[in-house]
Amino acid sequence: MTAITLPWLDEPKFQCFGCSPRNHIGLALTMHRVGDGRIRSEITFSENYASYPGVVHGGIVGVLVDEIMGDLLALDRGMLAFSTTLRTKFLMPLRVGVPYTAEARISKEGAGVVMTEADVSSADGEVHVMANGTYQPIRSDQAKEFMGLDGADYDRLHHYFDHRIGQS
Amino acid sequence: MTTSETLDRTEVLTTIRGFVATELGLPGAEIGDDVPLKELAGADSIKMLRVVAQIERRYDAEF
Repeated sequence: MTAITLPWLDEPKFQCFGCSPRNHIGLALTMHRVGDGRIRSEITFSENYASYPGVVHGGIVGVLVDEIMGDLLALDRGMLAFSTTLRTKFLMPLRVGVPYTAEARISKEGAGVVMTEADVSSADGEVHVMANGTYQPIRSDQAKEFMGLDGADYDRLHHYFDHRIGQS
Repeated sequence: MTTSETLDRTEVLTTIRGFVATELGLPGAEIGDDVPLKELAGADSIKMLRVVAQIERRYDAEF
């Protein structure tokens, strides 16, 4: 298992709730490559992310799977994408203070989108969450409008935008 | 799979039997077409939920 240095962490505008260590209320997720086109993130949630006592909030679990699937696209396809569909099957609750592993993979692509899958498992291998995501590449005009990118920031990051998936 | 693919009953049965067999650790041959899933050895609600989730992924469906 190889640790991944996320290449966007030092970007000055970057405050991602999922993976930026500069976001002090975020998850600061780290990624590892595990082969077979998958990446993995290991996390133990604190009580700051609880819903019911001792139980991790489902929305936070959604952040975990969305982040690892989106990071996989950025790392392996070199593109930033918006999630257009995120379906999360909660099979068993996640507990606060217990370590979990999330793994993501690309499942298929075409018609302008990439589809991904992510599973969250406990140390005994039990799958607690199965998620599917559909991601649409971000266009340059969207990056400028929503992220406020321009000038040198845009020039440095433009290669992440305007990817075409299964389109001529 | 895509919506342009045609579902074949035999292929669907084989695929789902494979999901169930893997989840329960049973030989596929022991899982008949009409057997109630909850009567299979080792079946519980969590394992059956995992099977459902795999079916949803495979066929882009939601139950």
